Amino acid sequence: MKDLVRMAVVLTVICMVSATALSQVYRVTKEPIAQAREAEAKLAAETVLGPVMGSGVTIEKRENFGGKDAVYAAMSEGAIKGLAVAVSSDKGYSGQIKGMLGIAENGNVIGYQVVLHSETPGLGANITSNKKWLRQLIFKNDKPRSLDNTDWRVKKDGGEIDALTGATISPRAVVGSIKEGLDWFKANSALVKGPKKPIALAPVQPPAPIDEAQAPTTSKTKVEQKSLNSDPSTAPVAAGATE
Amino acid sequence: MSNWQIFSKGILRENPVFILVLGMCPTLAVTTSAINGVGMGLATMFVLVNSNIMISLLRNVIPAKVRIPAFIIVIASFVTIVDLSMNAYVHSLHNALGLFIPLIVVNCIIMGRAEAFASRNSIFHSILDGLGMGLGFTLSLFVLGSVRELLGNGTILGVPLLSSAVNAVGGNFAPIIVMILPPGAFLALGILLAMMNAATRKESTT
Repeated sequence: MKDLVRMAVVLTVICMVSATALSQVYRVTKEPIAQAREAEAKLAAETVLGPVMGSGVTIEKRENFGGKDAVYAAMSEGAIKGLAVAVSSDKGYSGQIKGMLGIAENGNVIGYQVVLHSETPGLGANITSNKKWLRQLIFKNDKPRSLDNTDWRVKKDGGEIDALTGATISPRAVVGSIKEGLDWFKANSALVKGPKKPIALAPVQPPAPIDEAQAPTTSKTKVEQKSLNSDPSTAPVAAGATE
Repeated sequence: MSNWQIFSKGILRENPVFILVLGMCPTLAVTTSAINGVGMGLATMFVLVNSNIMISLLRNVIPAKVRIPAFIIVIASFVTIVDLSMNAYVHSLHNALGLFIPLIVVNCIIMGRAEAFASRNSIFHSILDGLGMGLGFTLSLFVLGSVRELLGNGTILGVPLLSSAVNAVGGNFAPIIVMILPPGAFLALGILLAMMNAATRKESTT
């Protein structure tokens, strides 16, 4: 009996000490872990927004944007020039593939980077390193891809994106996550063209009804919008080619 | 046994990977590159030394009948501490080792040293044992990781040795991808074990 009590007491004390130590470590490391994640996301956002960056363009973190916890927006004079959105897929060969997708304000894909994955080294893991493959995610015959001009599936599934040698599953997961990101962008495009400064915020495709309501002066603003239109569509190509 | 012997036995004579053949799960799974092997080895060493200290401290308090659960709690706590600290301060390495850090809990070396050494020896000797075993484990993982990275990717620690050497003499380097995949872990380990056995044969004929 005495033995039994001693065992119970010793185990209980060990558990209590261990629990206390763990809660302390958790408390101390909580902030640095959050910062490390944040820094990682920000770095990825800067990379994928590279093509729209330039003088006067700053990256802003926007929280609670279109149902996403956080997105990174490239801002120029109060207007969104591009968005970096975290996308992820659970359909990787070994677990989740998290990435960062850069979308220009006109819906063109301007960058994609894998942030976290555990794919097979030498095969699926080439999604992070195969430059040619990564390039064709963004460009279709040197023109930027968008939701409308591309069938976002791998060729094996009838789409137009190449898979990698010996690896179809990882590219399929990446392409699926990009499609999701673009669908999200389309559903929330009103937020991107959003109200801040009606004139500077040029809608690229035929203006949506929302914009007309915000920019009541008709002919004059439309001309300005047109001249702005040519700018974003050429910018991603020129800057993206340096990648 | 002298202090030096306690420390050095883990490096060669009782090397955890090549002689004791303990802790094969992280050994095989993580060593796809040299840096991963070193990272895993160092994390294991940290847990090993600390759990040895704790268990040596508590060796007269813990009743023999519940020693295993007590050891597991101590080890698991240190592993969680390592996991959280690495995530906070060496985030990119933590991303690479990901799943395998929590697996240190089930690494037989740590439990084995707790049971076979730390629960019977003084704190100082347990620290020496932990350091030696940890160092031996780290070195083994580094060697295994280097061999696999060299053959499977042409690099060691990211430095293109084999690939640039082959390309320099006019060849076209094609990595042996299977060496980075799970089968390559078994192939490399088997060959290294055979070499190790051949080298230490005289000593260990009992």
